[in-house]
Amino acid sequence: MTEPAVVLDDLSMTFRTPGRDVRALDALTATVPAGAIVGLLGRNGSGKTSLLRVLAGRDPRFTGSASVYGTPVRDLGRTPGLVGWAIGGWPGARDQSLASLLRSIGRATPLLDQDRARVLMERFGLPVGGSWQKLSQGKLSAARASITLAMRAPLTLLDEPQAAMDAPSRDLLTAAIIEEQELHPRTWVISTHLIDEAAPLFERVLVLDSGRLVTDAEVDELLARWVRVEADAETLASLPHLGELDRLGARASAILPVDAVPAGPGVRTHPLTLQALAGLLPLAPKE
Amino acid sequence: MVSYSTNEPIGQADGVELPLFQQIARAIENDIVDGLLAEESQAPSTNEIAAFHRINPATALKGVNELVANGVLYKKRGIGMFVTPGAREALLQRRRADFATRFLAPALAEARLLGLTDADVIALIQKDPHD
Repeated sequence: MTEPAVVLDDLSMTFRTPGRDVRALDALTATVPAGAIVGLLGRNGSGKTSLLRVLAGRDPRFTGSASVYGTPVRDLGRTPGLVGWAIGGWPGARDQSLASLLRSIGRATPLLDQDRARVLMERFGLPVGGSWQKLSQGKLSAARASITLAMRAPLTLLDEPQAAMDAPSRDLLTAAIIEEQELHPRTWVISTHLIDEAAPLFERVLVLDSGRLVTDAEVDELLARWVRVEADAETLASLPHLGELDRLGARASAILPVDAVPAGPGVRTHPLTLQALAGLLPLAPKE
Repeated sequence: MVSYSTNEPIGQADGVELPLFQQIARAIENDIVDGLLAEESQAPSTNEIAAFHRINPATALKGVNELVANGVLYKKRGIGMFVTPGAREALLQRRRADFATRFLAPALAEARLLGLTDADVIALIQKDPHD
């Protein structure tokens, strides 16, 4: 068995604020297999960015352990290029053209394939000769993604990479990720709110809720376990279901485990999308 | 998912959506049945499939591997995947065997719901609905 890309063991992170402690990460234990494209899902504030920061070696304020390809995250400084991530801008960089910024980043990170980054930027239609600080949010996302993809880091972390991007650019990003996975296979952990758009990319998903890991599963397996059922409200109310019933007169619709679907006329089942399911998984009974 | 000329539904089975890798396998089978992918010809690579459908290459691989396991495709080392001779006929046979369950049973259930008798349905078939 190849070494897993990520191993988390009882990983916790608590922020002490006046009045109360906030558990940003709560006892996370999980393994990400090498070479997988994994979706990191959860509501705003659920801990996704905190987890990515820990994995990138950017936040040491945790208890428990986290390692990347066997290297503890606290030692990632000694293995440059192992983890690549796209978050935030380039706060230290002066205003300059995007092309010039790319060259500066290339000097600081020799593992960056500048030609490839350039090709990707051009695909996104980015004005490489223009000032990078004047880029719109969407174009900034595209620039960040181009650079991170071209780093070809064995563990690549993307935090809402398609934020503010228009639809054609999001499509380009998906295509670029797939292309990169073929040219230089690596492990990806990608957080997103645009779940249905991203779902075909993900083999696995990790779902966070208030810092806790509520789901760590293969997408196929998850979608095979639950189904949306339409039936009379009384019947559905008495069956195990996720979240609330949607009612329409005497009828209702709810998400049930596949083995709880009632028989009989008037019962209709519909497949679920990952987006519909992901939002409700925090409510699922613990196995 | 792209739609195909055979009526074989790719996406769903009994109200539950097929896993993506199985949809990929079905789509390739449909191409073989439709004659769009000839026997002994090379099937698209997993990379091409992943790029075309905008999906994870691992999912494309899983779909192709299922077809290899079923004998629909075979591997030529160093070259790629090819359609097994006889695959089309084998697929047609499999689909003939499933035809009653997959297409007739739902049609008859619907007929029953509408108050049509079996004789009514037979009359409709003989009248040729294509008129």
